[in-house]
Amino acid sequence: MAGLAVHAYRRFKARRKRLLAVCAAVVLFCGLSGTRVSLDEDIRALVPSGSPVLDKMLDYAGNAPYLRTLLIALGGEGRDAGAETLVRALKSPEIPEAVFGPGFSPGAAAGLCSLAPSLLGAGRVEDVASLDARGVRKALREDKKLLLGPSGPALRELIAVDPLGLCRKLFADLDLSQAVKPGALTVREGRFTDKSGKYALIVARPAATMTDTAASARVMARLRAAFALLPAGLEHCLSGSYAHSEDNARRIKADLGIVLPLSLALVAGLFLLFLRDRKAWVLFLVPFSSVAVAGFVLYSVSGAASGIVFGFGSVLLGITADYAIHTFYALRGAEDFEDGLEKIGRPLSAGVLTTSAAFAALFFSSIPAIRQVALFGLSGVAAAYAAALFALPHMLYSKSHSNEFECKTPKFLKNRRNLIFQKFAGGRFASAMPIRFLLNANWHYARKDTPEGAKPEPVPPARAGAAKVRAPAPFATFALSFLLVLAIVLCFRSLRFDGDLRNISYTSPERAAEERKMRSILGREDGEPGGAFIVAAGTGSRDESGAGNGLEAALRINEAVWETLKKRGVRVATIAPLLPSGAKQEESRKAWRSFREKRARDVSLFLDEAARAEGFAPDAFAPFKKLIEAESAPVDPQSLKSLGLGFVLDLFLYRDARRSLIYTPLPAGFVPEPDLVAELEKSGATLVSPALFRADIAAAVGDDIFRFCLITLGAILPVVFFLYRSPVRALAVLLPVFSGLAFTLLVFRATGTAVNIFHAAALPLVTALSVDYGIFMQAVLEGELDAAGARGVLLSALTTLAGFGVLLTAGHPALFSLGLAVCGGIVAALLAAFGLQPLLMRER
Amino acid sequence: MRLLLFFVFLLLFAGPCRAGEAGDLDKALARLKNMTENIRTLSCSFRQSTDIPLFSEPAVSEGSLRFRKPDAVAWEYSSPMREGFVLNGGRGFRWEDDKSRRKPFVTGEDPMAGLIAGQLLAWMDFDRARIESRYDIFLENESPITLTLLPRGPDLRSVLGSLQISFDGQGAARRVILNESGGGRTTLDFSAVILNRPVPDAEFD
Repeated sequence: MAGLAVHAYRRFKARRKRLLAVCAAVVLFCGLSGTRVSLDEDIRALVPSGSPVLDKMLDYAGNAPYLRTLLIALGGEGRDAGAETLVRALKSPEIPEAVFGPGFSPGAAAGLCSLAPSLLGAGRVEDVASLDARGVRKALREDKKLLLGPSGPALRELIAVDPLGLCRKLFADLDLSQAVKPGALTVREGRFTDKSGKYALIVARPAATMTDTAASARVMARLRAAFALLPAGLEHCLSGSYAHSEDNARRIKADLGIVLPLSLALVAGLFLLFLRDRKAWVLFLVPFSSVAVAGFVLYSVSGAASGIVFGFGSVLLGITADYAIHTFYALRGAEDFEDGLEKIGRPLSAGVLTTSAAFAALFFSSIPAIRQVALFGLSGVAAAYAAALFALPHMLYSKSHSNEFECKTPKFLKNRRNLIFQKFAGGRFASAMPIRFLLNANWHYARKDTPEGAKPEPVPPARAGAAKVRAPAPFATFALSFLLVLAIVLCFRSLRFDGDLRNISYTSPERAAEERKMRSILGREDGEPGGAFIVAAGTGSRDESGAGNGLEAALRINEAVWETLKKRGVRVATIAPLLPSGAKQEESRKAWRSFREKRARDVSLFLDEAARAEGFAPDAFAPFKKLIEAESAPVDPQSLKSLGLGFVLDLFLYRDARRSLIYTPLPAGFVPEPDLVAELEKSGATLVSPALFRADIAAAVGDDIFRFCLITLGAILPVVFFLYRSPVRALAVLLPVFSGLAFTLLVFRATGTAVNIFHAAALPLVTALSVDYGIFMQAVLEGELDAAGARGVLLSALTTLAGFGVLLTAGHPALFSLGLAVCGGIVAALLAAFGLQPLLMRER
Repeated sequence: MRLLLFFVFLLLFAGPCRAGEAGDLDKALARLKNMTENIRTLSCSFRQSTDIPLFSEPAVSEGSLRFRKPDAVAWEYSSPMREGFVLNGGRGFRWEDDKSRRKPFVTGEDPMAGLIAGQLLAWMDFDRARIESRYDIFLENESPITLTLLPRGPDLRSVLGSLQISFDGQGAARRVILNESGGGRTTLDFSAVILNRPVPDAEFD
């Protein structure tokens, strides 16, 4: 590659302006295209994909109608009126459904009874058929008590159609109070309240999924507008994932507003401090170009990217600045630019190759956002490499300088009054602070500072053919490498992986306080397990009538689930009694027909006798007699919706063109035993629980780390061993890698950190960046590059640290995790490159 | 039940209330609120006449009611059936046949029990906003005070046509009439109202 760079340099020497104009046009075009990359605000980009089990669970959770609900608590005087105001204000395209009560009227109950022949089931129909005169009289006596009692007015219509109490058993099966938030809602006076009755509860169902943060923001805007209409003095509290999604999107945007400018300012400051050259500003163009090209590639491939990728832009600035820095130092210290390109070509190519390997490893991540980072990083590195080798020399060229390089210190740096600044800057930097130790440690090239503007000192011994050749001490190198690798292996084996997505998503203090408040209103303990549900899924194409799409299959599985749970005494809200499978309905109707033919006449006579005896009117139960005679229609979702049960039904049932999903939420705090899970799965249902979800994500993170390490090391080790063709030299080059990884993993272990996916993504980056320092430092130590090259390594490490370090200012845990893990590793690698590598060098 | 109980308590606690001379609704309701603030306990008898299309003739039932602030209530029918319920501090039980058959419940888990507790508290706090969120209130007569309440929401209107509450010449509530949407009517007449006399704990156990 060095040869190609030299050749290209020669070729374009006479046409510099044209080349630079073309480069500028390309970068401009890429930059403008890159700005069109839209922010993908779907938090599913942060969730592992590719695992069938996880994908299925995520799909089920994303479509769970009752999980897509918002629960709003209103407390204070006038809360009921406030609830009505809120419901009116919420109803909109963003929130099509909002209710303050189940909307299950006595009329709907009576209507449901008309469907009894299909709903009751063969067993209950047989119970009716077996009633004798005494049994019917007893039933009517109970009815009379109910009618005379306080709840009588609400039961008139129901008792007229159901004097024998058949349908009331159905209602007992259907525990509506558990439908929205199991165990949390109480229905009082037809309204949802908390258990104490002090809070009115409103259930709203937005149109968008909670993972779409842009849509979530619109939902939240609607909510805020509705809250503004509430009278003063009413306290409101919100529960639901939409607020979380909005929080995360806001946090990422706020972080980007800090991270990108700060990273830029830090890199600029470092350039100013170290390079002290007017032309140094052109070095900026390299990382800028890389980000522009990376943005263009991202736009071309996906058109949208997670906010995490935008945050990674600052990191890319820091990483790709390295190539410009190394090229700059190589060119400044060389006889001429061709010589400089010849020198820098090999280490730069090796560095780019290893960094690319790390990004390529990220392609194999199960997390979509990490794969986007891989694409962004890889294209940025490639662009920076091309810019540093092929365009930068022409940008740095100056006709007025003998070695093509014009090196002028800015006036303000020459000003002697800026003594403090000078002391820590540029050439003087080497004599200040601990850096002095690092730079003057143990290699002879750095002992003497290069005078400002002068050519560098000695020609490397290896190139000059000096008698003494310096090389790493074999034993010490092997021993150190062994110890570090041992530490890596031991720490790696004891890693714990974190599959809790809450730990890589942002929760604002206000939201956390609101959640605590809502838990208290709903009577839930902190950390109480919950949110588990069972899904009965059926697939199939919808037929011409709109039926089908697997509903029957899903209903059968759902019935099996309900039977299993009933057997074990688990009380759940389910639509199984409301919407039985077609087969069960047919069985029920068959039993009903049999009852009508064989026993209906007798039961009707018993009813008339009992009615007379208990003081009922002669035609009091005409609706029931009509029901016995009529042919019952099959029950389907549409017939339930026409009875006003649509909202309840939609809490449990999700349907699209090809499938039906029926949800059964499990009670809060209920943890299914493994044998129950096995039994449920045997019936074709799927249990989705936060615990399972976390375990699967943790496993995905573990797999990712293993893959990252395998691929990165698999790419880097051959490159390093091929380049150095000596195990000792190769190991010396790898020392910063071992140190960086060992330190990062030791920190994880010492602090008990459970490794999340962003920590995992940091490991290949630490590996790739550290090996660059090893390569460049070895080139300096072996004389391939001059002493200024060491300064280049320091500067490049500092720019990388700036890129990752600014992520430590991020409030979003994902960006922070990445920044923290990489910074620790880079610092350790830097210390190894400047401390260990020179110490190991011996003359031979 | 929600209607009946709510207005039972409304009437009973409004017993000592007198219709104001101006007789306007705000003044009447303000006076009711003032009166309820001093009530700690209540005991009375009731006679209920249920005239609904389901019955061949009006059915009459009788019973008694006891209440103690903040949330203890005992409601029992003595004729023609023996049954009732007791509620104390969010917990209670339903009973039949001289309490030989008892079924415990918790207001938070039992909608009906929760309803009673909620209505009691609503009344004791005289949450006018809450009442008016459900009903339009009209003053039918100034002396003696007679209020008519019309349900506002469709759910309630599907059951209840209107409520009429009458007070005697001393301002004590004496009669509640529930006109049902389906054409039935339930009338409750209260008597022997005693306020603020200690009610033993045993009444609520």
